[in-house]
Amino acid sequence: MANSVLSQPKFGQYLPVDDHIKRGRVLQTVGRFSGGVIIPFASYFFLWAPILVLILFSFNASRTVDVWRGFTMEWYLNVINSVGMESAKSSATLMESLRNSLFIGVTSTVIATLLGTALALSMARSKFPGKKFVDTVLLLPMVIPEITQGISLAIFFKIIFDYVQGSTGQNWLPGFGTIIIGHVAFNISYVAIVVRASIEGLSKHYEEAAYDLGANHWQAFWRVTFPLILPGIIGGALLAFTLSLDDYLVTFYNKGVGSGTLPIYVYGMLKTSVSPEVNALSTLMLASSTVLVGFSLWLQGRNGARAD
Amino acid sequence: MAAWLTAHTRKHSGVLLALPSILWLLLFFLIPIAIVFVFSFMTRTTGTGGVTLPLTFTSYERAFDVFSVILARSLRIALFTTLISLIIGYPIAFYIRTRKTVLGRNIALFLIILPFWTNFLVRTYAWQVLLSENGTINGFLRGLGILAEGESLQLLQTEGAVLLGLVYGYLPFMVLPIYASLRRFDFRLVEAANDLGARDWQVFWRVIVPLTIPGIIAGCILVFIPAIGSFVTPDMLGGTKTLMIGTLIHEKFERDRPLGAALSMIMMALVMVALIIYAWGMRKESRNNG
Amino acid sequence: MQKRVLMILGMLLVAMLGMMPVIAQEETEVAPITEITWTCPEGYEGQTLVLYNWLYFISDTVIAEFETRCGVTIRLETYGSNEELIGSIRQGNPGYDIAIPADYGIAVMAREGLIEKIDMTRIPNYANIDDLYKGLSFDPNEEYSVPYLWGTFGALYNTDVYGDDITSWEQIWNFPGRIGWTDDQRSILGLVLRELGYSPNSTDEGELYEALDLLLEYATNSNLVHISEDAAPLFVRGDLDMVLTYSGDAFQRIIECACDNFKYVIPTTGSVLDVESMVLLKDAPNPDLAYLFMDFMHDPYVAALNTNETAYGSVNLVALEAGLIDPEINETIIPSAEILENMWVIEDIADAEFIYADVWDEFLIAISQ
Repeated sequence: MANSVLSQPKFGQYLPVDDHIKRGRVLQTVGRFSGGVIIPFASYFFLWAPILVLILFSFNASRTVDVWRGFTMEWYLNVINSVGMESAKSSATLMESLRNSLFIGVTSTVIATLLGTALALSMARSKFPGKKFVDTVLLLPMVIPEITQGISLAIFFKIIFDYVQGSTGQNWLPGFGTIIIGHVAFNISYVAIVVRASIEGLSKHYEEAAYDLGANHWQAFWRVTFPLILPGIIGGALLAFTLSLDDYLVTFYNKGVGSGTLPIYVYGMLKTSVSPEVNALSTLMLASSTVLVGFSLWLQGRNGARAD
Repeated sequence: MAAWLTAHTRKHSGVLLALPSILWLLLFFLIPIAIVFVFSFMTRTTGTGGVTLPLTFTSYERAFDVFSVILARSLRIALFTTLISLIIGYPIAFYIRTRKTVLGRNIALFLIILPFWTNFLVRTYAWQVLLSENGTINGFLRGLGILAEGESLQLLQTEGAVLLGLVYGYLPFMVLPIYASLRRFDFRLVEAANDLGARDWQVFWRVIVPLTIPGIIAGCILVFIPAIGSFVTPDMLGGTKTLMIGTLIHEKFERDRPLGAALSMIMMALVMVALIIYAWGMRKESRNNG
Repeated sequence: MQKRVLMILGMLLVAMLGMMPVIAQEETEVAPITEITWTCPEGYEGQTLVLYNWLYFISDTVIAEFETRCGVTIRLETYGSNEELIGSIRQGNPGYDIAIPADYGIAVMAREGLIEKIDMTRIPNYANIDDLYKGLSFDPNEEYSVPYLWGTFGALYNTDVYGDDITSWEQIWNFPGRIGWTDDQRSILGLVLRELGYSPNSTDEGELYEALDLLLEYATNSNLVHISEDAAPLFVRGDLDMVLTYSGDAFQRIIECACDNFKYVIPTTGSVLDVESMVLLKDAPNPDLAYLFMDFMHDPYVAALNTNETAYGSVNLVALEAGLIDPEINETIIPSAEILENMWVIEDIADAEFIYADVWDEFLIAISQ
């Protein structure tokens, strides 16, 4: 369609898109398409409104998060005091669950991103028997309710562990390993789908041009394909990390002693109410990730990088 | 010769690249699901494991007889969630894409993601506080004098609140893939189309949308499917009228395993059929256009 | 802090009241209990006990006491319902020592072989437990469980809406404000069965469907807007005027809110009594320490601390008689003897459980339309 209007851009050609955007009709067009700035800003407000409430209530003097009863720093002190301390039991468990969440989140994201990206590459660029089937299977983890996945995996592990015990006498138990396996199992799909969307819009000509210029397979991938699909990979990884951080059911049914995550801890509170310590911790997490992200953005910005 | 060799290695490396994921999914996903599939045909028991022989269709019959209403409602709510997410998500993705510097773009992107690095339940809880009768929104409206003292809008426990919660929960799943596909979009195409006399809307529908279709599809799938099975949001923001299938599957899996298994299988089958029909339609359309 | 002051004041009051009978009848000189008398035997230093429990269902002070006295570490792991607890160990015990299921959960776990028999002779303080809570239907031979705390299922409501004179289930079902129910099919269907004159643990399909009809009538005639596992936060914020919930949940709200318009009631015709008990899980890594812990929990002073911090009822008769329980909690949560007589415990009914599940599904779906 559009390809017939324009010839493909040449490999390695500098694309000064911003100059086009800055001037003239394109900007106008884009402006109209995005509903000016109103829709995006309203959307950002929508996304941050509950976060503002959460931050506000982390300073609430009441133990329940429900009604505002004055300012306090007590919850922050509880959280900070519990770092490395054994006495405040429930806060100590809170910190431990946070550590577990981060460990499981990072590990499963790394594995799922590697596997999912490889899968997406092969799905988009090569043909092999059973590809259609893999295509369908890829959607399954999204279709299957989390609880079904969680319990089915637990049953599967039970069978394996019983077998291991029967044949070798070793007693395997669920723990970080089983949780990470479960998280990777659902995250592969999400990563693969997002990465694939970014490969599919990519013309094969880029890679072919690289081969014509004498690049081998490896070079073509790292120098050409990889930078082009990197946003997709990052997007997929972010999605995977977010999903892993939020997962409750797969974790619950496959956890062992001491491997409970933050959602496990927070869900336990459903019977009572979200404790202000959790709000304080969420605020601290948010603040530290903002600082971290801000710092890396500042580093990138200093290199004078411009949008391509 | 060289070209053939490259193509050949590429073909095989393709399978090799896919293999680890395929094995992982087979072992830790398909086989467990196959076990659940078998469960869905077994008889429920309160004994160990929750299932026993004989094999039966009872769970499927019950699932269709009793739960079809809830299934239909869940599909409807998920569909609306997807549409609203698309309408909100596309402009956001566009907005991020059109930031002028890498810094600006990354900030815009991370402002979308950051809220989601706090716990889902904590965020949903915050929505409860916002939407409550004595909550932030009603208080604000009273403060402005739009609502009289003692008056309030019923926000919680409505389908609207559930939709809002779901859109909130899945918006990044829409924004990220669309952004990924817009990221490489060459804006000279827009200019070219304009030069050829195309109007803005024509450019949008004929140039931009078709080229970002993969992102849109990925986004819609990523929102629609998990939205059907959601259970925390309808529980916390909805009321007795917004019961969704996810809540029931969740409960059934703990109390009535074959029924829980059957409901999951039905939901899976429905979604898969919808996706296959959709994919088939897309292919036909692209053939017609091509 | 305020809570602690209240508690100390309460203790003082109890101590003063407790002294009066001593003055009156000097023959029976009972030494007042003022501290933990339980001592930890040597040899457990450095060991770990894994406790699988509901969240906020044990006092932090009690845990710290046990840890310092024995030189051990307690690990707390939590679950949200009997079903979650059972579901998560059916696949094998990943390393928990003690769990605290509620009543019928114990019977299910015993039936499925998930828990070990307990040798009560190794728990001297078992004698401190009120006989009322021993040998209940879920563990008739006192083999598997050591009663821990108890609670009731009743109505927490806002007295501004309807006054404070609710005494019957009829008033509760027909409450004029917005009502929320805790999603507990056995408790709620049991209440209606009882009203119809049947056993609250009935396994008769006809009786249960009769109960469904009555329940639907109640639901459609009143303003029932919410059913979930966490209705109480909505109540506190003012989005509901009444919730059917558990006593511990209700009292934690009332104490926290410190407002005088919240009231928890169990009608005189009775309600569900839930008894949570400690069980020793199969393949527990450290059963010896588990026995010690169960004994420790029933030292009268420890049991009192636990009740005073969790707001659940104490099963420890010695602690009750010694007046160690916070009077504020004591007066409000313990139903009168007359009501207590009408309370019932949810029993394990094996596969008849499914009739309840089916009836409840039909109820939820019917009212959602």
